[in-house]
Amino acid sequence: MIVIAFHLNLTYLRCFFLASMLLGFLAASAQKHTISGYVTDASNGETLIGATVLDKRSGQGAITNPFGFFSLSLSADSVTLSVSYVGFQTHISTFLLQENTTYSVELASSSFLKEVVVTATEQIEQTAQMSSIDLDVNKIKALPALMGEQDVLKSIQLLPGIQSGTEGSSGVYVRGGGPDQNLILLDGVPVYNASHLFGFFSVFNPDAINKVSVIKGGFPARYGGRLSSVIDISMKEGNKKELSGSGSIGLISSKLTLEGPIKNENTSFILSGRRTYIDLLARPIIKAASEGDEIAGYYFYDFNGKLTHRFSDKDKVYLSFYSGDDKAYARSKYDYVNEGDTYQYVDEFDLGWGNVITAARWNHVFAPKLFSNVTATYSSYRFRTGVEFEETITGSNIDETRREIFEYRSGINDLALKLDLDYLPSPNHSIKFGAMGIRHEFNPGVSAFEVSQEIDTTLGGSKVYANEFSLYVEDDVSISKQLRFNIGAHQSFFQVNGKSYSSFQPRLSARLLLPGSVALKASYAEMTQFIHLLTNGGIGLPTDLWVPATDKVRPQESWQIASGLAKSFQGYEFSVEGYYKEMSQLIEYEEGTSYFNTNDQWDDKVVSGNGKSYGIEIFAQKKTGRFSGWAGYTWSRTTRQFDGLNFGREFPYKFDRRHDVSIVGIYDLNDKWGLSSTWVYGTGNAITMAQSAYFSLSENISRDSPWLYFQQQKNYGQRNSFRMRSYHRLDLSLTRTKEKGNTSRTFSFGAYNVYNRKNPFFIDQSYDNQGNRKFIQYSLFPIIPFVKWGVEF
Amino acid sequence: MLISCELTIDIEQPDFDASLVVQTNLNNHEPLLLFLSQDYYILDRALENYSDGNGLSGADISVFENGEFIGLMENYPFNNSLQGGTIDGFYSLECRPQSGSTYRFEMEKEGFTKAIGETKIPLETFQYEIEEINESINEWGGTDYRIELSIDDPEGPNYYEVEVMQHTFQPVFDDFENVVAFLPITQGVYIRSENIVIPEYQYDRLLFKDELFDGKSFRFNFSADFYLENSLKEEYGLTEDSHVVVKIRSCSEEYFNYYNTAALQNWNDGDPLVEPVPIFTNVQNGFGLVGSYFERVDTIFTY
Repeated sequence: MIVIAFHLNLTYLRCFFLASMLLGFLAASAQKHTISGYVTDASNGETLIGATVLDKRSGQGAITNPFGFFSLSLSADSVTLSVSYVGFQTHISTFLLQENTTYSVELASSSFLKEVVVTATEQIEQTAQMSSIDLDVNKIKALPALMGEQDVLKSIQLLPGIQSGTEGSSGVYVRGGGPDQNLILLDGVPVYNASHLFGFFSVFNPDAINKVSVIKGGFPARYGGRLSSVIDISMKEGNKKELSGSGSIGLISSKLTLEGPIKNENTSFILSGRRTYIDLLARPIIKAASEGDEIAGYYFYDFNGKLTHRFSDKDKVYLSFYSGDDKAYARSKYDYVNEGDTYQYVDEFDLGWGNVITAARWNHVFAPKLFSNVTATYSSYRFRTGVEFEETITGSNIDETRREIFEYRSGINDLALKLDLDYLPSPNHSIKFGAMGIRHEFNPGVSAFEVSQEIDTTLGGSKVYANEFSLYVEDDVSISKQLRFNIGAHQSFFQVNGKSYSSFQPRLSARLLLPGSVALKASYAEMTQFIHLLTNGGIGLPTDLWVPATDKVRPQESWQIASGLAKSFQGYEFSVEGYYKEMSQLIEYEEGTSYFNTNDQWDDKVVSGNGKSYGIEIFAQKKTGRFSGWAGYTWSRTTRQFDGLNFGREFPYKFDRRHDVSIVGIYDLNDKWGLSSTWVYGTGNAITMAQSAYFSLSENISRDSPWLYFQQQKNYGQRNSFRMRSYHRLDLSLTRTKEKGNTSRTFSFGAYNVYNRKNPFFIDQSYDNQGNRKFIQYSLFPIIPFVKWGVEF
Repeated sequence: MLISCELTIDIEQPDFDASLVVQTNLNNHEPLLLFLSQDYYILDRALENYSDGNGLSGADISVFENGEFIGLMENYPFNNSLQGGTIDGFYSLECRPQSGSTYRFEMEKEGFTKAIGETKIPLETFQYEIEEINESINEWGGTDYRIELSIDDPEGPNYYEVEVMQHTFQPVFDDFENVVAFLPITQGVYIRSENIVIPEYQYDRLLFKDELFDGKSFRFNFSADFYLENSLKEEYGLTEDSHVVVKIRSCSEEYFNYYNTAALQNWNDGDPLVEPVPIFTNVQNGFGLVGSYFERVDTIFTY
């Protein structure tokens, strides 16, 4: 009903929005002065995002934006300014405000407090934003992890409303959405394939990251382009005070990060690299086993770099770069001599995928109340696989080479330009507005086949170019101490192959402060997504293909309402939220079709349909003290309905999970020893399994048929009607830290899946030891211990 | 490590009740013929025996034409010449289906819930002509025959099936390599569409719907790959003619849906990247197909 009301009253919504804008400008005209500046970490100059700046006398405050900037307009009077950030000592100063003042603060770390696992620096009941959580990267690094490889996306999976896909996968499924519906931003640049090693690890190196924010609903208008979540990851800017670094050696990879100032504190850099070395360790073994005839391996690497330069208090420039690749390869050769001729055969296989991401950002403070950020970005994802066979015959009368090459390539390239403006007329009012343009280049799968330069065939889709534009405006306004709104709209346009789409997406979040400082929150958001991900099984394979909306396949759309209660006290935070979301124009492969049918155009192989998800999320966290952690519980139900699937009947989504529990604990035993643990539980995934089978005749029945041939047909019942066993797992990690001078060394060890739970990965039919037909469940990871050594200097 | 990750599990299935499985394709050429069997729990070892389809005899099968009872089907002893012996589960009724009529089958067998299926024989309204047959040498040195059909499609959803068959003979030799007999054989001919995309089905058949040419005249091109063996007459003295025939069927919707989904399921069986394909059925309380088609047959070669 609420939604219908919104649809019907869109005009009123627009009027209300304009009125609130007007209120803002009126408020701005009052006689006030503005304090503006940046809040940074005193030890390294790193930006503190989301720090609180509060005038204790008036009770008015502001929060630093993603660049550490704040602006607070107050009446000309004496002010007592308190600047705080969790894990840092609060900075308080009193002065007389007589004119616009630039006031930048460096906060000192309060190491003895050992605070915070999850930080929501503005108290949860203060903000109108709901369904949002910020993660502290230092604590992500403290969590136990598969093979000791801490992972940003897997830490996000531990939050309520956010689910993992299959075992070990870094895929993120938010409130019933698909893995393609998450806007994953690295320094404002979309990342299209965020996984290494077939989804077991994500591409984000925690050593190079400053902050991670996740939004599951009530999306502010500044975000658009995806239906289900925003995962906004900010890279560090680099130590502005001194050269420092960190490194680690683990079971599968090593990392090294260097950061520091260049000449003075105005310029800083950070360089961070990571590479796995399974291939290097395995290569001599494979070579020895095959007597030098075979080579095979796999590795991934990623590299992050960022350069930050401060021209003045008003201008700052950031250049950031990411490059990461996965590569699997195998090569074998075989030769023999027959009647004086030498025959040599060489087989090669390679598989590779990776992202390149660059961003140039310019912050400019036009006025103490007006902050701007211009971002120019390039994001590229490419996938390639190739098989090559070469036969060479050499002899006295012959010298012949025959070569066969098969190659498949796909990918996506984006060029984008974005302008974001923050206008902060008063402490109770902030307006954000901006525009963005993206030039997409889709390469939806091209196969090339070549035989000895005689035949050269290219199959599959050709490149598709598309333009996406968007405008947004959002207004965060406190009507009274109890009532606060964030209201906005996102308008987007998309052009592809002469087809145009446009979408107006209203957004609204509201907070009503109830007695006892309990916040009642509600939100409504409409989202549109102009790109789709073609995926087999949704397990995050590199073969997943990004494709644009076309005249046949329309953009995805969703609307979501959410409501909940939030309360924090004495370092604890509690929230309960309920949500309902509908999605339309989702795509799936037609039944019986897969990625490997490369002869067809992709949009001939898909069907579109609708999705629905609703649930309740409960979240409790302890933010301070030696023991910190959180517990999250989600009850949810997610379904899909496609006219072309399951005979049009509604069916459970593959990752429909009725119950999902995550418990995270980090305990600092003393200054040297730390213990961390996670336990997760989830209802088993929904899969389609044959329930019975029968024989049918493959031919038309005729009395004249000379013979009959029967084939077995399976009755699968409803799609995804079978549940695998529930999933649960305990991970533990113990870390010893030893500090000497400016150097800190850590030694971590622990285990993934401590009690060796055989969690289901897939189920197949086979025979038991007595020869009876049985279901066999295959798991991926038994107990896997890890050990890791790291150093910071 | 792999062994440690494998676990034999018992699936909690509700009590399994077997259902009746029906297969019949009514057509304008033959009296009613139906095959009745049952489904088995997926782990049942009965599924390992493919040879005779595990047909069910002794069922009561009532047939209704346009709502009126026209008779009970009788067990039909079907001889399987390939494996020898009689196959259980076939039922027949001496009644030739009429185009445009609806036939309902009610199947009852002790221990099973009564199953019901219904189909309407497609109308005789579609027209077609064989426009042109061209020969060409394919890349393997064989002969390709490119056949063009002109189909006048009536308005509304219609479904078509094209099949090419070769009716010929196989010489039977004695110990001295003398031909002592000729065994009649019928074999499907590999065909493929030339001008519309048709999903994989069976090598000798093309099954498609009229969504691209609804209510219009459409020229459908397809290629056929067969060999006209002249040596049977010239070397071995065969006196009878061999034939290549084209069968064109206007099919019922359930016929189209059943064979399409069954072919898709078979085609993708075991592929982990493809979602399993459920097979269409129009049988209440059971599985299988009560389908129908109207068929025309043309001989395109006699040799």
